[in-house]
Amino acid sequence: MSNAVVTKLKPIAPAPTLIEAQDLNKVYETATGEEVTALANVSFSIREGEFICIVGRSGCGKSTLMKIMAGLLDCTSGSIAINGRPITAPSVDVGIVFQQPVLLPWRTIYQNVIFPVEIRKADMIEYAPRAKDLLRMVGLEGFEERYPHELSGGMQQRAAIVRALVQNPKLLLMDEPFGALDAMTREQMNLELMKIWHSYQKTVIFITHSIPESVLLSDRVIAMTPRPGKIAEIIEIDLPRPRTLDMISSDRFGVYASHIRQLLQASEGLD
Amino acid sequence: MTVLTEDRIASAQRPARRRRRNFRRLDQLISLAILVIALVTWQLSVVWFKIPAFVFPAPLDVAAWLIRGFSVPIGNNASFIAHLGVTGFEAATGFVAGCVIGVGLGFTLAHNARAERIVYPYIQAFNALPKIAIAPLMVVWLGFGLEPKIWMAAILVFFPMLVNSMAGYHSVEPDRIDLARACGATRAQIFWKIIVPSSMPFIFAGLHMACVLAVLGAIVGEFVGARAGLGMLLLQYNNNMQVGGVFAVLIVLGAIGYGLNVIMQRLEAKVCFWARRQKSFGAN
Repeated sequence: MSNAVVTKLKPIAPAPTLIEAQDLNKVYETATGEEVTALANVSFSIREGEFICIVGRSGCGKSTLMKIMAGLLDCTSGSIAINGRPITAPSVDVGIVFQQPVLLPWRTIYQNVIFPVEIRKADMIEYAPRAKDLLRMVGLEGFEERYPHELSGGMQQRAAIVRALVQNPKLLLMDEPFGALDAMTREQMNLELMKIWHSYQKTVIFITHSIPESVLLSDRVIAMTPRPGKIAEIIEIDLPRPRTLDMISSDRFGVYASHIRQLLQASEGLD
Repeated sequence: MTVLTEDRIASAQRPARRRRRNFRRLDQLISLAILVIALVTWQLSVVWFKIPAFVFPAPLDVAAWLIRGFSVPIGNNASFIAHLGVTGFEAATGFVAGCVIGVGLGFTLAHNARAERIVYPYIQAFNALPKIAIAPLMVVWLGFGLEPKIWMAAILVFFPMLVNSMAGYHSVEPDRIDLARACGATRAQIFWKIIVPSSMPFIFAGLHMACVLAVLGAIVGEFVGARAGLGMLLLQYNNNMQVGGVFAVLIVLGAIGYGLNVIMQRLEAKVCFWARRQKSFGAN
């Protein structure tokens, strides 16, 4: 698909903004009637084609933010827009990958992958070649007629990624997608994800609580701190592409990682 | 590395599996032998100790009753087939009615948390009642025809179906619903494409109980007052001290129960092939 572009060229003019959040607030009411601020004054702007990681400890509101971006949850105040249009409902422009693969066990891999097309009553035949291409891309060729329980965890998550990409969304939202996988599989999936991102020119927002993972993958890291969930800092990661696992042991990588770790630990000292 | 070890494990398992299968066949043979020995002992002791047939019939006696029951013309009052037809119809109709009402109400309540909170205590209270005890009331209300039997079967079927469909609805992983919503699914799509299939293992747990309870309900209904049916026939033989006939009817009833269970298991294996047997939530 891609024309064998090895390094990502710095765009001459900055890419257009894809998603823009301004002063997002989200307040939950608990069962006991207490109010919990999940997000406080969150603002950011993400350009088309960027790989963004949102990193933070649990309870920092990153999953809430993700659900708002997916159109699954309304914000209490503030605004968020994709391509200039406010997000009010789930959109075809957004593909989502959860921490668990969430494949429907009674459907074959192919039926799972085509599920969004079926739900939106789009032409299943039109999307079939794309689904097949994507399955080949992630190494699931020949597994179309298998059922999820016949696949390993890593393979299931690959199928979930294909499902998110099948309708060619502009934005891929990933909520700790590799958190349930073992370390080896996880590293491999990170590399594959970067390959997919590169060849399909997607914008990716990737939620993780792993600092090295966030530095390895991102163009920019959004570090969030909990109670209330807010952005501590947005860090530009200026490491060459394509990234390799060797970079993890480099000095610059270490500087980024320890900077983010300090940001996240500072928040711990406060409470 | 891993492939090699897995291979070795697999090759080590193969003879073991064959041995296990042989053992299973042996166990089946032993099982059958026990039945034969029991039947022979039973026959011989009845003959030797001269036990009267109205107390405890010999197996050959019971067999004769069975053969007679299935060979007399259907018009005859002793025809098992005719009575089986009546009981079968009552049980099947009650089964369908109980399933439809139980699952329908179960999903409705599970969907409306408020309605569930309001109604569920009453359902629990009614479920605590020994439902068989309302059979005489059914006769008062609905007479001696098929209706009271059908409703007895339906009531017995209703509760496990209600409880299991509610449990099934509540067991749906929220992620699955989020997934469907993220794909833009309508409420109807979420219900039919996520909730119903996700609930199937629970529904089947209910169905396993329900198919036995449907027959039970029909029989109890017939005990209270009926013109036909296996329950009526059983009671008639009992009153006439024709214990051989009672045994024969019991065997037919046992066979029905067993058959229904096999059918349900097959159906479940087909529909819920993806699920390991999950917890069943039963109402007696």
